Order: sequence, then C-alpha cells, then structure tokens
Amino acid sequence: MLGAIFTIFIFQLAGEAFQKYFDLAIPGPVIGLILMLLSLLLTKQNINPNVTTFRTNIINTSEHLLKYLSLLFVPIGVGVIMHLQLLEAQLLRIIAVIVLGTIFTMIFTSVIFLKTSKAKADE
Amino acid sequence: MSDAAKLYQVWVYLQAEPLFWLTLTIGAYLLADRLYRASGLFPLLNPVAISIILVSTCLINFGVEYERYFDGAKFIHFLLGPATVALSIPIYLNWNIVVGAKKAIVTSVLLGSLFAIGITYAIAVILQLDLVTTKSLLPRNVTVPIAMGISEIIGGVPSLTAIITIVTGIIGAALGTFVLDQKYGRSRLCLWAGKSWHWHRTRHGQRQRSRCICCCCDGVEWHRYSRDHTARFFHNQRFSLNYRFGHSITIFAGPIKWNLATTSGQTDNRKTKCRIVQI
Repeated sequence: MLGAIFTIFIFQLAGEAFQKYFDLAIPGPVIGLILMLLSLLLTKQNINPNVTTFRTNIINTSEHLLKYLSLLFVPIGVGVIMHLQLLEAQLLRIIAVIVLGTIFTMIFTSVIFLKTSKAKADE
Repeated sequence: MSDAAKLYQVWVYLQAEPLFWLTLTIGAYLLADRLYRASGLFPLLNPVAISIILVSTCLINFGVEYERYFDGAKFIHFLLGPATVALSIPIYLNWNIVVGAKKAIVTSVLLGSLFAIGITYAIAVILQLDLVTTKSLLPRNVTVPIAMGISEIIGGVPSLTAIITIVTGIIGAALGTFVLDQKYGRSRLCLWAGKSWHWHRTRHGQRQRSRCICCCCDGVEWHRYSRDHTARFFHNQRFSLNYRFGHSITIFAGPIKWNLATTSGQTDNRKTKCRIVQI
C-alpha cells in the first residue's frame, strides 16, 4: 500500500519535473500518468513474483483512489461562492451554453465514433 | 464567561483548523452520495454537485471566506494529482481495447474536442456573454484540473471553469442517455465529448448477435464476452469502470484542447472567430 502510494507520488514528481524543465503545456500529473502507463506496459511480460505482487498492489491502490475521484473535485467546486455575482447576472445564458453545447457535442462525437468504428462493427 | 461565549470561542478555534473543513467536506460528500444512491442514481442528484451546494451553503451562512475553507480542504484537493496518475490503471487494464479501437477513439476525441470548443464559442457569442465568462466556458469539456489550467492561461476564471466543467459533466450524464436514445433507438451512449460510456446495439433484432461496439469492448460479441470474467466485470460495473476509463481518455484530449484554446484565446477576437469557424 505505502509502496504503491510512493510509486504514484514518484511518477507524479517525475512528471512535474519534466513539465517544468521542458516548460510544457501538459500538466505534470498527466505526464506522470503517461510515464506510469509506459512502465506498466513495458513490465507487462515480467512474471517475477515480486513484480506481479507489486503490480497488483499498485492496481488496487489506484482503484481505491479513483473510487473517490469525485470527492476530490469538491474543494475547487466550492470556489463558486466567489463568483456568485458573475453567475447571477448570466446564469441562464451560461446554462444555455452548457446544455446546448453538450447536446450538439454529444451528437457530433457519437456520429464520428460510429462512422469510424462502423467497419469493425458491421463486418 | 457565558456558555454562548465559550461555544463561540470553540468555533473560532475550530474554524481555523483544517480538520473542521476536511470533516465538513467528507461529511457533505457522504451525505450526498447516500442521497444519490437512495434516489436510484438519479443524475440530477450528482454527489459532487450536491456536496458543493451543501458546503457552499454552510460557508455562506457562517460567513466564512473561501480562502479559509480551502486552506483546510486543500489536503483533499492535493490528491487530485496522484489520482490523475492513477488514471493510468484503467488504461493499462483496457490496453488491448484501446489499441483495438484506436482509430475510433483518436478521431472522435480529436474532432469531438474541436467541435466542443467551436460550438461553445459560437453559442456564447450568440448569447452575448462577456469575454471572461466565454473564456471560462471554452475548456469545459476536459477534466477539471486541466480545464482550470487552460482557463488560467487564456484569461478565464479558473474556479468558475471548475464549476462549469462539473455542471457539464452532470448535464452530460443527465442528458446523455436521453439524447442518444432519441437518435439511435435502443442504443446507449458510448462516447461523448471525450468521455466514454457504454453503447450496445441489437442488430437485426437478434439479441445473441448484438455487439458492443463501444471503445471498451470494441466489436467483441456480447454473449461470448459476457461469459468472460473481464467482460462481466465491465458490464456489471460499467458505469463506474467506464466512467474512469472515460476520464483517462478525456485527459488525453486535454493537451490538444489546451494548445487550441491557448492559441485561439490569446489572439484577438476576430482572429479567434476565424479560427473557430475553420474548425
């Protein structure tokens, strides 16, 4: 458990360092995600019992963390109380943008997805 | 000293401590989560939205500044970074599927992202929203931390973007099934704005021939697959697992949108318009 948390932190740290050093637009944790994914894929074939145990550990710990992913958004979300005035003036219009934009985007994306995966599905 | 004064003293002490705000946040979330489950996962009772409303109401009623609250709640906020790294696990576990459906995933995420920015900008311009609000709206289809980063770079209000992004997620979840059912009959939403959901289709009315052509079990026959342990895991837990998987995909859409929003946001208004129209 602790080892898995340590590993995740290390990858995030590496990602942050990478991002700062190369001054990238991609956030550090996302680079950490890519690095961790690569390491997992590269060691996929490794059946050394130590490695497999460690891998299972990381998977379990990550799943635990992700189970509460939505809780992690609450603190920033509460920041809305700082913008109540801005929201009040334009609330309806903002909601209109979100609702309409979301519906159009959903239709568009699903059409594209179907178009590109059609060949496979109908074979 | 009277009891009331003493109680007030305790309050003054506690509200300066992170413990109080952490407890409040987790408590609100647990309550909201219970409510959500009790309602049979009714989309408008999204636990994030409800807990934000609960906590916000408390803060406003007690007259507490957001900075003070965040000073305590930042410990929860901190975990977003590690959680983002942990999102590599759903991708790793679904790697074969990602590779198998790479064309569909890449194309629809890429074009869908561009379309999402374009349509948001267009509607915002038509409704004459002010520039700051528009900029806060543009990144709303990426996961929250990335959306906030984009918002900051292009001159929006990051915390406004956060709430807009969360609302987008809630509205998407609420409308998703409905919108796509209208369009595809019995089908279910799979991929929307970079977030994947499941999508099943019954072909020629033969249930056993129905296939799941979503990005998770692309083209694999459903009856064969459902005997398989992994697949059962997918289908039984499809909401939670695919939601996470969808998050992973969304994160990859992030940098693309980031670059796009940055370039278009920093040029002047007319140029932005051209760029969006080009998209």
